[in-house]
Amino acid sequence: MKGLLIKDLYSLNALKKTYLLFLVLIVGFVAFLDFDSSYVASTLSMFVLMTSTTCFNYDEAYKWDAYGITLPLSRKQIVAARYLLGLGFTFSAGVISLVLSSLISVIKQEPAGWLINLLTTIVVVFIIGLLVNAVSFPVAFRYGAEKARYAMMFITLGPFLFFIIFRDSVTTPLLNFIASTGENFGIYLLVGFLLATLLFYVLSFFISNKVYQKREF
Amino acid sequence: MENAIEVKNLRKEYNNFCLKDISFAVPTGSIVGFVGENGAGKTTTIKSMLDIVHKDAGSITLLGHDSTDVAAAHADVGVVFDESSFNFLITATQVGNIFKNVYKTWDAAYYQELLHRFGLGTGKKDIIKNYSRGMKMKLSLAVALAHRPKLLILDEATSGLDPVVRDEILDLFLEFIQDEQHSILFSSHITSDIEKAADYIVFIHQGEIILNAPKDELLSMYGVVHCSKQMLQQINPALVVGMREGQFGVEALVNNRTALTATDEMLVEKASIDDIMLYTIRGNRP
Repeated sequence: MKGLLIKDLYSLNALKKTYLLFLVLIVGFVAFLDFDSSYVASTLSMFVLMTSTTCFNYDEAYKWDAYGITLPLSRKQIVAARYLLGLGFTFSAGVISLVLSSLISVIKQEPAGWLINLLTTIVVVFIIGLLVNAVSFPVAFRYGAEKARYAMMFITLGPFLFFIIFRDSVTTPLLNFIASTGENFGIYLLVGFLLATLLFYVLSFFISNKVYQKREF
Repeated sequence: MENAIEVKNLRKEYNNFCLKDISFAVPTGSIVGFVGENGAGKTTTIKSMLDIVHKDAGSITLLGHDSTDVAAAHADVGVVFDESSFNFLITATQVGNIFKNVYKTWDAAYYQELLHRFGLGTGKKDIIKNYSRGMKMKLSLAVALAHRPKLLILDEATSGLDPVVRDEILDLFLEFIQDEQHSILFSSHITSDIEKAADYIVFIHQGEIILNAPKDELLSMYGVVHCSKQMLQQINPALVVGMREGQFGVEALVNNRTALTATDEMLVEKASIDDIMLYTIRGNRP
């Protein structure tokens, strides 16, 4: 399984210049323009989502899938490697965001409370990253990278559009309710979402494993 | 172990194609040439063996392991497909680092030796994208060999390569087979490669095995007869596999040329694997 992780990291390493340039641009925008430092976290999450699909795209382009099955690895290990990579990248994006955003906040002398604000953003981004992977991975393992991209768009844009469309009937009353319950409730809600997402991620692994067992190349 | 691969009554059905309960074996210590036209079922058979597609019926044993124990069997199998499966943006050294962490028996020194022997650059700038097709196949072969497998399975590995590279690769096969515990299943539609390297020929056509015999036996028994149509009718029909009519007479493939006596009116020549394939697939029955 370690070999598969190294393979994906090498593949992504080939794109490191693009990624670094992107990172410098984000940090530059946030540091020198009037952006909240937590924007680094939300923008970096886009990276995470792109890297996961990039790995599936590479596997398809180089016909790795069929070859991978000829290795002394079970299909379950192949699926597990991709889930570990997804988790690792989401976590790394969180850590990188935390470090960069904290530095920017300190340098820009942002108002008190920036750390709580930043941590909240990072946890939300972490949840979104895992959710998107949890939805798109089974689709990728069953139907390939192209369809997984649609699933990713759906899970990314779907809730966003929902809350925009139902702003008056759902979003505003929901936000008012959360605000009225006090600070602690918000934290419990976030932790609850995080745990539920982690559970969903594990469940998604089992679904992917099941569909991949039947997949033919 | 008597057979490195045993395929018994393998069936795999698709909408427009079916492997029809095929059976054959790859004896340990031998090279089996798996021949047939494009679409005959060679790749489907190999994919079924390697669990890339799931068989509908029958049994497959690789190095004594059945389908329930696939990963264990794959530890001792090296596989080369007709195309390189590695990311074009990485180097041969990075490929080695990947597989070092996949195979427990990976021999890094031997891998380097193979890369050197094949003239494959290992520098940071030598990414696979810059390799020719022949170099990519050599890299695939180096990976397939560097974990010291007992069995090589090659699906059209020499297709699209020039004769020099093909010859180099065939020499490596012959070197690999020097160890009597090693075996090769080698699928190709380039019959000259099969003729050069194989000990046995398995011929598949439209999802059925229509010939399975030692190569030398085939080449010593089969013959092509050139004669008139009237003369062909005098030959025992059981001997004639297929025939083609030309402007100056007929040509027919016979399965036992020693049973015929050449005359001035009837020329009998040795048949090549190409002849056997062509007359069996496209020849008419007399």
